[in-house]
Amino acid sequence: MSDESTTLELQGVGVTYATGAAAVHALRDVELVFEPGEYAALLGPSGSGKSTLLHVLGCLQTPTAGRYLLGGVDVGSLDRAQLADLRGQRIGFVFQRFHLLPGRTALDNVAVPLRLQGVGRREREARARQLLERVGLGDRATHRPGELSGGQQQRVAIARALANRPGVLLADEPTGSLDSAAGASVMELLEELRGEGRTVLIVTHDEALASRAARVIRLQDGRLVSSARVSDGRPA
Amino acid sequence: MPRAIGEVLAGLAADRTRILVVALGVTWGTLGLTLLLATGVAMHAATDETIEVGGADLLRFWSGTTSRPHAGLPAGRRISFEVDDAELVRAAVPELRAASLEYQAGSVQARVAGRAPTNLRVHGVGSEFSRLRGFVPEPDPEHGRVLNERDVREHRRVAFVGRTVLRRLFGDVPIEDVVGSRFELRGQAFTVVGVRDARPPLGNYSGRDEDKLLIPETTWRDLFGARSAVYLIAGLHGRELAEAAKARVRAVLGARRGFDAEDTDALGCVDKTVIDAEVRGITVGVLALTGIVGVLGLLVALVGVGNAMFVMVDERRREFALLVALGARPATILRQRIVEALAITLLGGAAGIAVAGMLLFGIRQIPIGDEGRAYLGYPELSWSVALGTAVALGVAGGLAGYWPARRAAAVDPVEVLRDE
Repeated sequence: MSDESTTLELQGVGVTYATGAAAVHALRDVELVFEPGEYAALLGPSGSGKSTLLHVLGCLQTPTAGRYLLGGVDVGSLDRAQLADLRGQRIGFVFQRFHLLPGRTALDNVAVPLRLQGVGRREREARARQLLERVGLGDRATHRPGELSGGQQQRVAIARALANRPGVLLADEPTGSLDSAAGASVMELLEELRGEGRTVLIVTHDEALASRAARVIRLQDGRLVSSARVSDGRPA
Repeated sequence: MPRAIGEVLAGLAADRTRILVVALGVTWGTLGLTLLLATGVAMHAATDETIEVGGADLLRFWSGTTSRPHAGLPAGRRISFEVDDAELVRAAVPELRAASLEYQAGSVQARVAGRAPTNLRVHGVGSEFSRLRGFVPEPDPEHGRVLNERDVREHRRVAFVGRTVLRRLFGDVPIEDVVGSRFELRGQAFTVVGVRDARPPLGNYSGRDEDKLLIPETTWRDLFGARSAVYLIAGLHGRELAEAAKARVRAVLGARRGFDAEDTDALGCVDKTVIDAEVRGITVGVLALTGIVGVLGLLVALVGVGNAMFVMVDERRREFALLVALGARPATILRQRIVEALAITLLGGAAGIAVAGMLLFGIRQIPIGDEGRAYLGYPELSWSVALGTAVALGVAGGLAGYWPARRAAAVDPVEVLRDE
């Protein structure tokens, strides 16, 4: 997992939206490289382009300028099906609002990415159960999202993001919908995952959370303002 | 495949009330289509059979009066058939496969010993008449035989009778008991050799066929004297030969009897191929109409499927966006939505076909009589109807699901999953 294949490289990446006659530059000329196993925070005010950058890194959005190489592969050259495969096999997403399927159990939710990759039912269930244990929710496997707290739902979402053992984990404001205690618990979990050699990128506007990362990348008006390595990313 | 089916079923179960209502709509549409198609097909088949029962590809000539002078002979002369006219035209007209004269005598007294006498219409016919006009004892071989060449040649006193004649002569006795029985006709003893099939024909003339009693033409002439035949019945090798055959028959008999071959008053003709074609055209029209009405009904139901799929897709956009973000290929989402639409359509359709099968069984039990059955037939859930309905359902269900499925597959996860 933490090998050359998870190197992320942005070369002059820009994203421009055409809204009528005007063009909105969500990202401009971003140059960044993330080595395998990095733990980085993307920091910036609302509208700074941090979510757009995360979408580009997660292959949900293709740059309108520049190149994005994931493990040496130019993502811009891939079609929709190839992009889907790339997301399913190498990238895990954690969303601010969890986005769990409300009618399914925690186990089923965690198993969704496995099912999309064609993993058989028995193996799927075993791995999903293992992941729920890993995030401390082994006893909540049959619970539906409505029966879980916000922090528990985000843990299920993290377990889901890990299902296909991706090399990259992208989290968009993962604690934004949680109270401070649940948020701290989720952050600890994400930091542990980084310790397993996985590249973890977190979007946040919270300076305190960002300061826990090994590298802080600041964005302003779609431009890269700074990219600084501040610590080893582990809590003191 | 089981995985895909499981996915589809899970998706459908999440919205089961709407799915049930939509599937019921498809059931109703399928029921209508199946019933209409089954009725149309049965009507078409029954009418086709009825046409065959009375004899297909027939020309019925009658002798009339000349309407124009010809070869020095004046107009207004009465033309009559002669005893060997059938043999003559058969030999001279290659378009004909068979021909027979038909003599008729009405109100002829007949009786069976020990029973009251009755008056019957007696037809004298050649040996080819029975096959031409469908006076056959089928389907039961115990119902006797047709009049044959030997009967004609030997002036036999044998008779082939319709069902009504049989009842009037012998009462309610089994048909097989009547075959071989004797009765008197004009004081002469006759033997019943066959009883006509009960099915009514298309194009009765001179009364209903079940009211007729046939005897050999030679015997008829022995009984009633030298009267002229009323009709010359001719069977064609093919319906497309009708016009040529009519012209040639008129030419042959015109040359013999001294009338213009184009004088249709001298030798009239009822062309049954024209009547048959008109009736067939009507039933084909009815079949097409029932099919169109049925398909329109089904389409209304399928518009409901498409509409429901659009609503479902809109309500589940977030789910589809999430699946795309987690690695689902757009084609997979497209395929699953189409399969969902097909599943609703086929489940509803299967229920509709099953209900139609039960209703058709009930319809077949309604006593509408032989005349009714001759044209309405026995509507049933045939393989062709079921297959036609299933194909229509499959195609329409796929189409109903395709556009909603495209919308689902085109969902943009960035837009839909944006955390405001």
